[in-house]
Amino acid sequence: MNPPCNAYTVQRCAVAVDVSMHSRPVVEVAALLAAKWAVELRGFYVEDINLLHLAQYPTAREVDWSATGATMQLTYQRMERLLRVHAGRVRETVVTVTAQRHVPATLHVARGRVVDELVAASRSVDLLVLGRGGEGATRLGSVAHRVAVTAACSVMLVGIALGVGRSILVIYDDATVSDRVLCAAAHCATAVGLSMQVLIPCSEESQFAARRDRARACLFGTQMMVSYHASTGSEILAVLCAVPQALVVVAGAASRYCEAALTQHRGSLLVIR
Amino acid sequence: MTEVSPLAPEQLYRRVAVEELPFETTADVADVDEVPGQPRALEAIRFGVGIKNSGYNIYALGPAGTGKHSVVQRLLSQRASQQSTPSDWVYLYNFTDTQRPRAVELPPGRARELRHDMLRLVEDLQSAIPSAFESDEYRTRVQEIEQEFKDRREEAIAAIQRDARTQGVDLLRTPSGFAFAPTREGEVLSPDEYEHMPEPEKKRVALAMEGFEGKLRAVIRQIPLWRQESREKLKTLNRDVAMAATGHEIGALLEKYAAYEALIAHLNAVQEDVIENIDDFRQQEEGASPLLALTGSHSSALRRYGVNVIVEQADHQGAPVLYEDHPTYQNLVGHLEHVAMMGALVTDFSLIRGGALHRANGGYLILDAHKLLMQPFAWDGLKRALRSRELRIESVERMLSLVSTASLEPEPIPLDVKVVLLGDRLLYYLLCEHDPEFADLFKVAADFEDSMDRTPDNHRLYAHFIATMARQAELRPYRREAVARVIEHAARLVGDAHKMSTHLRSIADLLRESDYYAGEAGAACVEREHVCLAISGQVHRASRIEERVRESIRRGTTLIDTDGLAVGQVNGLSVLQLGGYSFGAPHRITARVRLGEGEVIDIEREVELGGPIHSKGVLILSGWLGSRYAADVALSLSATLVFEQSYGEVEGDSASSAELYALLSALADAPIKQSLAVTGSINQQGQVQAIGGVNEKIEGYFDVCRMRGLSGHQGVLIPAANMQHLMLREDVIEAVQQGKFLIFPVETVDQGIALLTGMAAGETDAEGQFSDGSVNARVQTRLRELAQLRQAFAEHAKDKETP
Repeated sequence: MNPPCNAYTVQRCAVAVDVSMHSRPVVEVAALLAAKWAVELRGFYVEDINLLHLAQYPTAREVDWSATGATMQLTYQRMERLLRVHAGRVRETVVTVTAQRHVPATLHVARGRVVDELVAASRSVDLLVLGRGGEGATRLGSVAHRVAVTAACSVMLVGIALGVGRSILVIYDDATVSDRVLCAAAHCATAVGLSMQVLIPCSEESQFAARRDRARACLFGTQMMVSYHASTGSEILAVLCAVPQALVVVAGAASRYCEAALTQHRGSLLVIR
Repeated sequence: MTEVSPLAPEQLYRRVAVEELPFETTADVADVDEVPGQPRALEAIRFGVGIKNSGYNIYALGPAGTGKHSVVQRLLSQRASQQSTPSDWVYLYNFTDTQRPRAVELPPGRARELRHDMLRLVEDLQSAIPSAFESDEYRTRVQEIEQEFKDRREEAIAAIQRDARTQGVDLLRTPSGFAFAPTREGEVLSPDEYEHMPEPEKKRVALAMEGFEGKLRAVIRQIPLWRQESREKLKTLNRDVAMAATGHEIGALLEKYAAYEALIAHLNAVQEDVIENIDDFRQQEEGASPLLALTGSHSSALRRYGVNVIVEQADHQGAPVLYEDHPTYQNLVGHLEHVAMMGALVTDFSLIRGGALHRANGGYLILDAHKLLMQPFAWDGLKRALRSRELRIESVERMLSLVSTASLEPEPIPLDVKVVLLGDRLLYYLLCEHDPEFADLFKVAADFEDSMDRTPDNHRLYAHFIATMARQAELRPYRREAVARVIEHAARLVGDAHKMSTHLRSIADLLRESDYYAGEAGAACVEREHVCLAISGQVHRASRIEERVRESIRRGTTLIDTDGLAVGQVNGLSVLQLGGYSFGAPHRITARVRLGEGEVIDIEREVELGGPIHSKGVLILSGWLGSRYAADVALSLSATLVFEQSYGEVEGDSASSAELYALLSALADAPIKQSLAVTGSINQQGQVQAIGGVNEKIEGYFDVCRMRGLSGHQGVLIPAANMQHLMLREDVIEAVQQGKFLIFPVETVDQGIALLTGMAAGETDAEGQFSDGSVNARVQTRLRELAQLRQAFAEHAKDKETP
């Protein structure tokens, strides 16, 4: 499928995966996008070096979560074995989900600090998909937050049970990558068949009209139904809180709305670089 | 002794005087409801139907074809139409005891309505409940509950984490739980760093970690309780939503069926159950699991809200009258069906099937006794139901304790039914004899007559009945001569000139067949000749064996003389019955005598081909012989009697007179006319008694004689008592009229022997001596000679023994 505009394309797509129950929906979203864009999907699984360090303490113990809260001794060998088990389950998830979409896939297992390894992986891909993390999903997980802020590529944070989202909300400000943000949103919208709304932060009508025209020019030829809304900064913050079903697309570190989106929005998020 | 004269033609057949029939054709005759000739049976049925007490069920006994079924059906229908329509019955799921489905009584016609209402209720709930649970409000409230739980859990863990960080310890998520580790600047210490940590610090950290582990364990133990609380909240929410979703639909039904207490209780139970099992309705929308789809569990789960209509009277007026043609146990008292599911047979209340007793409850059930008794357990099942006055559906396997798997025990339904059994007399008497319960349960016997008297009134009644049957069968009208011929044939069917058969099936067959011949002839009405054609057609179709027997006589294979004289040889007559057809044929009976010790040997009996009645006849004749001719001397003969060329069993005493004539001929050395044949039994007084099948016997011998040519001397000796039974064929009557065939009514042995030998039988004088030259005198003389001879032999033997 041709990209709707040339400012953003994905040639290499990756997904960060673990063994939590929320990981599979994340892989499914990544596989869906990879299938639509006809690209390979790379799975990344990081064996947390902190756990291996912990396991080497002579007094290392863990409190069992699944059963009665019993305390068990931890050893390095046991931790390695557990991590291997996890890697096997992750591989099974990736293979199963990508096979359903007929997407070619690979799985890379790395050992280190999770954020460091994912950030490192982000240097070799155009888009990294990972879960928002955190059981409650109200707050963004710390790992997801740090990866979203520091990754070298665009990062999609997938909310639990929300998938890509039900609509796409783009924050189109004056960041240097704002056209790229718009094109990336169009790219996703076309792939998964969602409508798109563009929020244009502005204080004056003329400013709104100018940016809207620029956005229209950018999306020219995409034949998408797009609505444009002028918003103040506070309105944008309110909207971010109110629409967890939407996929919010925002520019990365260059945008002043990025941090707001990361902390306020409870749904899926696409941070563009 | 009075001389016997042959019978006149008019004594051989009793015609119907057509002037007794006041119509031209049966088109002029009104229909009649009454079956002719059954006043006793009709009275009994009316009595049985009218009396309300239990046990007054009816057994209609009589031969098949006498119209029992149609009479019973009509009388019951008349009565039933004046009675009120009985209740509908349904089985409902029992929510408190699932093994005992509830039986609920409803006014006639309401069962179907209830079934429809409950089906619609389930359909409505299938859309209303998912809609309620699909609403955004509901989803939001569910998410709120779930979120509350998650927040509570996360917050508890986060609180521990925060506390831990203040102590330089962090909480890590391991592959199977949580662990605490010392950190520096947010990073877990490497093992080396930990190793080189000062000992007091190490102890402090270890102590802190132990404390946090304890706190974490406490939180983890709390989590199931929080989850339980969350589930309870969700359950309460679901209940509230379900109540709101079902309230309107079920409320409408509660209002509609407010008058029926059992239904109110059921509808309330339905609402409770729907709320408890709300997921059964939501699965529809959300998609049942493949396993559920495979097992059909989902549809069966909703089936429990349905209504199984066992008895429905919506389409009937009055009490039901039912005939069950296949009275198996299951067809009578109902049964439980099963369906195969995942290799096992399962059942539920919707698979309860009612039987004929359910459908006839409040009315009448007609059953064929023979068919009923042929079916295993059916008779016992019927008796149990009638005795207990309730219908309890129980599988045969459980009844016999062959299986002990869990099954249903539907609540019994009160039974109020009148059962009418149709059967033959033998069955009735056997049941009376051998089944003690029978008399208690079937107190009314409706005994159907085989025949009715021939009187002018009855002739007219019969004509009405013929007209009715002809109209019902859409046959041509019958000319009154034809009706007369049918009545005459009805008399012939019972072998009695003064009776008519009530075997309606035979008469109906004859009417249809006569109509066929009338149609072949292009006649508008059925004439007498068509009836005659139908009768001869019936005879011809059935007479193959009869013709083969006659052919055997013609060809000399079977030795029968029809002229000349012979000593100790007489033509006896017998009747053979094959299927529904009987015919007469002559048999040669011979007797031989010699000196002996007074025994008359019946060769048939010796070789076990003679039946008990036949043997009785022979013993009677030997008794009579001794007492009449040798009362004062020893009976010193040895006689043998035999049915020549008879290779089958001989039964009946109708040949005993013929056997006696053969014996007398042999003793008197008096030849018997072979042109005559004989039938009749004798008693110890020397009287000739009536026998059965006299018409067939006469016609059988007549046919043999006609085959060889009628000489004018040929004829048959019949008991005088059988004169009233004569309904002979037209050709026999014509031959008699022309003097070519003779039929003699005989009352005594003397009359018979005189006719057969042409000699005087001989009467006793004052001294008890028979007149000289008579047959009896010659018999007496011969017996005395034999006695003297025997005495001489005895004395000679005694002399030889004395030294």
